[in-house]
Amino acid sequence: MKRSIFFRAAAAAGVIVLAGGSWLLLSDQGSDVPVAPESDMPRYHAGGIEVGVTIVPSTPRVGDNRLIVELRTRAGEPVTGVSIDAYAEMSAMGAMPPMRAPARIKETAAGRYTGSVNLSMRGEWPLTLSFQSPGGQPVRMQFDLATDRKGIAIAAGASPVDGAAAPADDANVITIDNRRRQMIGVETSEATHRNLVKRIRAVGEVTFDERLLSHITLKFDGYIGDLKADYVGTPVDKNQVLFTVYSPELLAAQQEYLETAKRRTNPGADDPLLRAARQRLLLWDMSASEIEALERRGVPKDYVPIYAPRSGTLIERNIADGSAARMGQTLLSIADLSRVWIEAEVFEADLELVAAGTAATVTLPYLPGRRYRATIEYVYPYLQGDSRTGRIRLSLDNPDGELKPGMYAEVSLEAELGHRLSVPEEAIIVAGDSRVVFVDLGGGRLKPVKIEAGRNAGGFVEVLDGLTLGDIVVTSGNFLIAAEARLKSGIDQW
Amino acid sequence: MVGAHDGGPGDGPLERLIAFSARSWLLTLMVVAATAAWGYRSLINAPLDAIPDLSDVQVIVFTDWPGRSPDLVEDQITYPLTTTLLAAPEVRFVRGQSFMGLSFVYVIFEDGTDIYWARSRVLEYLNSATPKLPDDVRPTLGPDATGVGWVYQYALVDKSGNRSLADLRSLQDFNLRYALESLKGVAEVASVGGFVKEYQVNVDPNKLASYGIPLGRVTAAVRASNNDVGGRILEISGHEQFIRGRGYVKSVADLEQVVLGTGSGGVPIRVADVASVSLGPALQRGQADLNGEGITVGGIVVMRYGENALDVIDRVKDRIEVLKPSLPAGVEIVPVYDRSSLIERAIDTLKRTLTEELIVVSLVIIIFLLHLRSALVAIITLPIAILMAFIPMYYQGLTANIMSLGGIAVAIGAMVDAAIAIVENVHRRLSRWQDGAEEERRRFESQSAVVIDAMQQVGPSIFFALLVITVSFIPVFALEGAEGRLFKPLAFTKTYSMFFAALLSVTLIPALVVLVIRGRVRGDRNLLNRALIAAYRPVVLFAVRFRWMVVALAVLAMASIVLPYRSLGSEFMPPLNEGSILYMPTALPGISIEEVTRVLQTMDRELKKFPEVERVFGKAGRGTSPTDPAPLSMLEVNIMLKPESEWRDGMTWNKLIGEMDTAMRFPGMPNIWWMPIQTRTEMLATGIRSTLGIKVFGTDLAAIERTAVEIERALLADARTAPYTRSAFAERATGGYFLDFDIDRAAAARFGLNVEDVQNVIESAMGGAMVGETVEGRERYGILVRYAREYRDNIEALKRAFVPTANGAQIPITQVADLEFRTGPPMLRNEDGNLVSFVFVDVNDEIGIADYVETAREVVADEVNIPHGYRIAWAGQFQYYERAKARLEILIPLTIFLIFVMLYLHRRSLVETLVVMLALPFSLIGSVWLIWLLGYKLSVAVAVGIIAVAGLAVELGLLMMLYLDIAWRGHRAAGRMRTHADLTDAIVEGAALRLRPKLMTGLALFMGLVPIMYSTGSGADVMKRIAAPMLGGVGSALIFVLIVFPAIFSFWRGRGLPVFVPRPPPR
Repeated sequence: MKRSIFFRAAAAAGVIVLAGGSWLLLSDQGSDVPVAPESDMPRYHAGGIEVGVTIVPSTPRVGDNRLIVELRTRAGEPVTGVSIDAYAEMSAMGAMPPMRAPARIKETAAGRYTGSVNLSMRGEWPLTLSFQSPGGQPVRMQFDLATDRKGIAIAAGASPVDGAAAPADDANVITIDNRRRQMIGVETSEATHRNLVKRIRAVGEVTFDERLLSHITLKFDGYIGDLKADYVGTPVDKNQVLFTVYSPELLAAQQEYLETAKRRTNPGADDPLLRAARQRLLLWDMSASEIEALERRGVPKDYVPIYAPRSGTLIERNIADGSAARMGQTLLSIADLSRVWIEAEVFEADLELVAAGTAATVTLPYLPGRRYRATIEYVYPYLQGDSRTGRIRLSLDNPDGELKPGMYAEVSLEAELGHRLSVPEEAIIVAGDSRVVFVDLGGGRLKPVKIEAGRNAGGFVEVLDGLTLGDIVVTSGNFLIAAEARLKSGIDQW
Repeated sequence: MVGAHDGGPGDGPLERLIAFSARSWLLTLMVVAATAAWGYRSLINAPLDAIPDLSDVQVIVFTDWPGRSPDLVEDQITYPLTTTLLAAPEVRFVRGQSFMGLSFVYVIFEDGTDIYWARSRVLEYLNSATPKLPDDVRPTLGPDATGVGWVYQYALVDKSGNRSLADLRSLQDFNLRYALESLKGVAEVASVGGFVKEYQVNVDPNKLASYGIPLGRVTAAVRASNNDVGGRILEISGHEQFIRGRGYVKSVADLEQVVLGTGSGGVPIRVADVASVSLGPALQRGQADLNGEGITVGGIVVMRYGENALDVIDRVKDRIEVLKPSLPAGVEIVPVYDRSSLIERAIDTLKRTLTEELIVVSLVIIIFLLHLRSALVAIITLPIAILMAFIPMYYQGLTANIMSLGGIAVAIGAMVDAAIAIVENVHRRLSRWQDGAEEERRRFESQSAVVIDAMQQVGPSIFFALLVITVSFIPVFALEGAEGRLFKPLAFTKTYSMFFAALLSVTLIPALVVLVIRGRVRGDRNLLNRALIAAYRPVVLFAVRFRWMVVALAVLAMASIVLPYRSLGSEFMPPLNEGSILYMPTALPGISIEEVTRVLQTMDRELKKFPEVERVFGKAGRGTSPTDPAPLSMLEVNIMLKPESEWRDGMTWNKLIGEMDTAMRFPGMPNIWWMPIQTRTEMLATGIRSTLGIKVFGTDLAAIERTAVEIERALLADARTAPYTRSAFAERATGGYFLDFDIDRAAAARFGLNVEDVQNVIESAMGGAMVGETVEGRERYGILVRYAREYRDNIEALKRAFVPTANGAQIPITQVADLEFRTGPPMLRNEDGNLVSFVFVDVNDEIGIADYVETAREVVADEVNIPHGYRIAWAGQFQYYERAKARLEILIPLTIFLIFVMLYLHRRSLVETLVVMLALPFSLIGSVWLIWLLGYKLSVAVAVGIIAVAGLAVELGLLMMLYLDIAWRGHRAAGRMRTHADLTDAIVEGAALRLRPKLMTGLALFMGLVPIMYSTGSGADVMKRIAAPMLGGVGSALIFVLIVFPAIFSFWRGRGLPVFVPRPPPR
């Protein structure tokens, strides 16, 4: 009797211990145990079916975690026989290479697939799930997964069944909510038609307006008498006496003229000899009034005054009082500086963009703050030999004489490229041959789009292909968004 | 403790030692006191640290070559360096990393190589490598430290607002740095953040063109305008006058006056005519921020290898106090990371735990012995043994850290066993003698003779028990690599303290016992003992009666461990709560400094909003230390927390990190929440981190990548490996963005230009030529000649960089070079002189990794066409696992066998030995279930705990078996072993009546571990991982030994006895 009581007590104790043990086991987050009730499993639309994904324990940990995927049609029928490829990957950090934790997923019940991921380190392990949907559509879903963070959240490739947003099966689309957008300072801009003006910088020089330049030369040999314009820079008025010159030849010509006039038989009548002598004087740059004065005086002048052909500034002086002046020698140069030229060099590559009439701004480093508007007056039809640059010409009024020939000038040409679809330069990510922009689809969704970029002008880039009018593109915070896209949607390379 | 042997006292060496110590007690006490003093000296001089340094013996060769792309750095620097250094003696391997403008070569030496010897070897070989490097490149040896040596960090704050960041950086670079670097134990003080001042000559290419001056003339002219010379001596009236030519550039104006040539009419063309000269910030590869308030300047104190971290930090703090008054007004030094508090807390935790353990164990002894003076004798051995354990530790160079002190902590229960056994035996024998047992009276005249005999009786057994416990710990010594470095200190100190405890128990205790134990003792018949025996007796009876069921339940319990065992996760190292958080988000490569600085500030600001946060110091990219290879895309944010008392209600460490994690979800930057030491330790690992990897070595990166991808495909596709390959993943080298100027040689030739003429422009116009350094007192700043910003900050401008042609004209670079955007690797890896890329392979559980490697080798050989001169190697953690596994596969059975042999030699009975060995699996039950209950994961720490418990379990089993056997022999000798009832009597006597030594030993072991489990604070988590399996194991072993052993014993000795007849128990 006693024995049986003992026995029963002991047996009962044993049963309690075992039951307690198994209860503990089952109640824990242990991996053999399972599973959130089906209704709790978050579901997503992807590839035309409903995908339920959950992880156990619900807060993933370092070590083995169980991944459960359920596939069913919209009607609720289980989808069987799908092979799912899944892995979590911790990205590279500095010199540490990335780590990938694959989950070998097997179908454990109709439409129910389970596998385990072994996370070897604390941190973020974005999870990728890819399979072929029954319709033959490739599905690729991205989830945020991190150790010690509860749950997994869809990052790309699908939309929640109960979510308001339209299904976005595009695996490239990433979602970044407003708060996170603010944190990284996302700014956007519209792809729209803009007048693209390309600025071309050219190096130029202020030169004389060739049309307003006069050289003073003598057509006879002679000796300078009184040099009135006696220093470079002398302002000169038109018809002002520049200097006087003594020339035996001119003196002879004057006397010849006087002689001819004296010997004239019929005063007032046209005498061919007198006309020839007068013509000679005229050709030797004696003015008509001076010839008249000579006639009145009746005595030739030793020193004949030479008058300024135009107003301007004396810019060259090769003579002094008493210099011998040879026939044909440039004695003085007079330039009218009220108008100057800017000649600038444009590189071969830019030449096609400039033409007569292109607007330009001229600045001179010595005159800070002064900007001169001008247009191209002339494009020289040939290139400079050694530097292979094309030359263009602008002309500027110079009433105050600020612009001094020889000055170095910076010319900024504004080449009109026309009205083009364009986005700000900052929107474009350059990665090797590719140009990528992020298009804001609204609702926090961003999509990387490859574009064909055309000309770059004034902070905007012409879009030849890839965007349509009115697309909103991201212009700030691009790097992090691109990084997020590459991490979450598996675009390895652009 | 394995007491009460039945023969007379022998005269072995130990017996003689005991007798000698007891008789010459004064001498013994003096020797012990002297040794303890020596131990105390070692203790106070012992270097303190938080955890053992896990780094390899490594020498870093660091080369700075500003502005060069990774592949250029690889070809010109890393490759020649690695190939030369490979040949150095004792080198295990050489790894190189080439970044933008930086080359790191890690020379890793065999374990145990002296670091300074290694550094001289590296220096020798570096000497012969230097001619192979570009002229302006000078490789330097990194400090004799590692990233783990970052013990103290500070930031400079200017409250007055009068100092620019460049001023602060100059203060750090030329003042604070040297003041701190001169301290003992400081290997380096690195600077981070702020702006390094630089003279910048910003050339306007258009003006150069209009003057017809090539850029080269500007650099040459500036270079030639910055020097001081000496002209020896002029003697004037017996006095020496030193002749000096003063010509150092001292200001911006000096640089502006540098003449480039003469224009028409002899007018000098000066630098000012073609360039603007300014003081500006140098190119940054790192930036720092404090509290999100703006860019700041930081300093990192790197401790020398093997130094006393706490002392170094104290010295640094003292020096900073000294420096404070001399700082410019308004400038403050704010500590942003200070490891000393961690070390102090960790040491405090262990000190407190040790103290608690001492108290608990003492209480156990006092309660059981109920004789204060005897208890004190046992207790006094503990502190003295601990002190003595520091002597070999000190001379071995072990630091006092969580691990080495933890070794002592887990040993305390076992250390006291020897003393307990001796004192207990003395008590028993003494009380019997005092009670006037005839036989005893006859044998010994004096009390001290009894005492000595009692001690000699148990002495040899103590040594035997010690041997078992020590032997059982052998596998821990077999660990290598990081695990070895982590756990060996623990194994050493545990062994040392056990050894000294045992030594003391045969020297000090005899001396003390004869001195102290006088007068009447009560033996083991005190009230507590009686009560315990009364409680335990029915249990034994029950166990014997229902022996089938007891054994069956025991088997069931054993089988039950499968359940929790299967659900245990695994981890490399249990987390050490360092008390400060290192937030480490990492962006993909290629982020720019402006962007990363902006993000860093936002992050800091967000983190600072948490009320628990005291201070946030963020660093993006690297500081100036060669121990910091962080690329710009890597952020490290040190978060200093307020004391827990100031936290919000209900806030815990994990909850706080959880909240921060939710708040800090920056797109494109995966979060990692680590702790500083943990991070630095992880970052040291430069090799493959996954279990299995294939390294593809070769000379051309593209071909390597092709081969790697082929291997990846082959492993995934081939029928032989596909079923076992979970994943194979070849690294793709992308993420670096390059803008290439491809020089068109034919086009260049038309202008009479060489490639170099074009490259000079790229190098100096775009990159900038560092033409010299100004010398301004102690301070030195670079002089950089470069195109002005607007002429190089966009592609259009770069296209217009001028190349001077032979005839003096300047042509845009696009006429002789094509611009291409390309992508490529942002960093190149080099191993043993070859470029290397990795294929990461993950193998499922259906095949052993060694078998897999074998099969995969065949597959790769068959299917992958490895180019001539390329090779592959199989690597990864699996090598260590394989080696550790191979060793453990031999060592664990060997250890068990050794224990077995020792037991057998001791007990001379096969059955008995086997039964005692049963305690091993019994201990596993408690270990595994307790780990599971506490939610721990399998780790090396847990394994070490399980190994440690083996010896203790055997000890307990042995004790039980011993007393059962004695009782059985006694009964048989008395002729009372005819029925099962007789056997039951014998079992009850052996098990219950000699309960005290067993319970005392068991409880000392058990209770000695309890304080660890209750400890909190830094380092407690690691210790708990080790202690938990021990605690559970000792507990379950004790229970099973007390309950199951009697049952088993009755099976064993009950064979052939008449059928069991129930009979009321005696008494």
